[in-house]
Amino acid sequence: MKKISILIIGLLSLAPMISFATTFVLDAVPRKIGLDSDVELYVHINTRGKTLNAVSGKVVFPADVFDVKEIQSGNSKINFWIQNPSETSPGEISFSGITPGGFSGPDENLFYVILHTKREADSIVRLSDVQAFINDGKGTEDTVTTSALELQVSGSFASSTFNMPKDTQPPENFRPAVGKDPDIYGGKYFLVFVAEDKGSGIGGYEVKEGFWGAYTTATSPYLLSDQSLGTRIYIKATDKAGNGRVAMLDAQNPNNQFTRYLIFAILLITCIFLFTKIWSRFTR
Amino acid sequence: MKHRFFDTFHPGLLLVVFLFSFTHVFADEFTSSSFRVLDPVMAPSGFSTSTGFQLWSTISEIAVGTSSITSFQLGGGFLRYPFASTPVVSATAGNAQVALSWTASTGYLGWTATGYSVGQSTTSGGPYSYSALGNVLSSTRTGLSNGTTYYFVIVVKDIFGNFIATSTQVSGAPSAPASSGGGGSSGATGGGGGGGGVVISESGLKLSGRAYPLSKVSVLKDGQLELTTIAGPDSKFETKLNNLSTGNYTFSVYGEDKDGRRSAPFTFPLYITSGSATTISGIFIAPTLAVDKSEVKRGDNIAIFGQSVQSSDIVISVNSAQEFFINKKADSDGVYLFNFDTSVLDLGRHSTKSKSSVEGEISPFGDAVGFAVGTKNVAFAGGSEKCPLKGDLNGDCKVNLVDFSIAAFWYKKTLSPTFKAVELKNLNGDGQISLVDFSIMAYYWTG
Repeated sequence: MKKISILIIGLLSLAPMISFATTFVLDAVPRKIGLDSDVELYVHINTRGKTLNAVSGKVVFPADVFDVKEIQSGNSKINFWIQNPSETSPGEISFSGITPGGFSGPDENLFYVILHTKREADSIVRLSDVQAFINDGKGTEDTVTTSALELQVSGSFASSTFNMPKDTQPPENFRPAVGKDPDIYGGKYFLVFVAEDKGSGIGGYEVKEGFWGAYTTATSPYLLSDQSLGTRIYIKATDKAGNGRVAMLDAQNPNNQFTRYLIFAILLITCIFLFTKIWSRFTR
Repeated sequence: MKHRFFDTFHPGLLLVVFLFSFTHVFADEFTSSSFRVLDPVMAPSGFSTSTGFQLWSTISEIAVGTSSITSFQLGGGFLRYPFASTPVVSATAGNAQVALSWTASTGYLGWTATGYSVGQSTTSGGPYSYSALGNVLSSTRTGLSNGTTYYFVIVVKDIFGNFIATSTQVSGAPSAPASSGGGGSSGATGGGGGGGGVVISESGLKLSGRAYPLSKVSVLKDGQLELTTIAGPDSKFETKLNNLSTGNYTFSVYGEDKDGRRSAPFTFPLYITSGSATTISGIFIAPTLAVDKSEVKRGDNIAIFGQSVQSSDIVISVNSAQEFFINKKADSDGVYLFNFDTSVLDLGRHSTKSKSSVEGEISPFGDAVGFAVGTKNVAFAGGSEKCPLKGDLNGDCKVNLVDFSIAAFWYKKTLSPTFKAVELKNLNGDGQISLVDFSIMAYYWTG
């Protein structure tokens, strides 16, 4: 009797902690999946009335049953990903990110994953190593709870195929910036950028330096080749549906840019002068 | 037996029983050599005396106040005035409907927002017809006439159904969806009238509210600086964002006062429908606040000052074991200053924060600023309060994508000696970059 009382008291003392803990929620459509089919796995969060600004964790699933077909983090509550949701090892999708100013709500979207079934099995998909931090300026870690999800894969279930939602909107406007730090790239100037896409999510970035430059695939931070900062920089963000948005960063050091234009103008004038000289000799 | 009964009870309980056994109601002015009380609110009140104790005061607030049996404490001063923050409302017009959403109201000092009602009118300023909504943060008003401008307010209710706060008015003009041959589309505006039968399409997000006279107001969209605008001499600002896709956004608005101090950001989530007009009005940016000393000798004054809307009512809170509230009026430039006598504070760390109210609207509290009460006066380091307290890793007085990238570079890596010093000063100082540090950066984010 005494043991039961202690147990009840223990459970009661834990109850408030559990009921107010941030909850990471997994949901899937469908939960009974055919072979060679797709399942949409949603990762949501219930902040229980608190304002959070940083989360991290892992989605763990049996790699022998599912392949990752697609990860969609567009329209997420997370604004800046430290670790973009990605399969860091077979059967493990890691993520971590922040939202300046924080967010709260009972059913907030973090990201979703399209898994493709490989073989019949009853499997458990779960979250592990989850963390959530309160937007209080002190980095206070909140208590968290998670839920696991049972997914059944069988040839007897109807097959399902995920079709990417139609996305005709380009990524959002974004503002790149130039930074410098003694410990990064040997103290050289680097470019930072991040764009958002509310539809299919960002597919990648390209950077070109100067109007005549060529776009090259880039990730942030990006080491600038023109360390004089005398050229305009173009950053193209492309979403997974192929829609692009270009952000420009004007030359930080226009004097260098002026020098370049001056040299270009002198060369041009020299060429024109030589051309007219030669032309007049031929036409004489 | 009677003696033993009283012995077993805490003196605090005796005091409570003692106080509530009196039902006298006095409305009087109290003076003594050390304090003076004018025009007290008495509801109910009285005075109590015993051989070793005399109380001249008003006792109230059983539920929220400051007395308990196990740890008795009597809050000084008068009745506390509870308040609830006003919701910030957005209106998105559609076909014969207007979708409303608003931020949650927060109750202070005894009030709790337990539900909302929507007031609806076709006349700006009302009168409104009210409909109860329950404890929700959105509502779609349907059955509206296309081409007519409707005006809405959201009122906050306490558990008894009393209206404890009212939002500023927003409006929306529903319209039929555009046909292939053209025609009107949805529109919503922050004011003005309907009039004709044609509603001009005005898509985008319109933001309006109050900051400080002629102050710079910055708007962040999902953490990135989207635009800055300047508030008018009346502290009011209005701006608009275009080219928004359909989806969930987090917007933050903050102001900079005349001395370059930034306010706490006003952050709100919003679902935007591309092509629709959405208005957010009633944004009330919290006052800025600074102190003249980082440490003040106990008994000396500490100057608490900042800026808000001109001629607004400022409430300054000084947080200690006991919280002190000071009412102050901002001047015609929105500037306020109060010299707080620290003789009432214990030695140790304290903090102060402020909020502002004008014309029935109340701002949230701004960020708290800390100071110490000790044995000497130490001036606040000049100018440093203009920079974020934490998170600025490259020393440009901003916390933005550059700082995020620097921190991300060091995430879960061994820090160099130079960056270890930066981490110690600007993050949590544990000698590593973890999610804790990113959380601190996210809080102090300026964009």
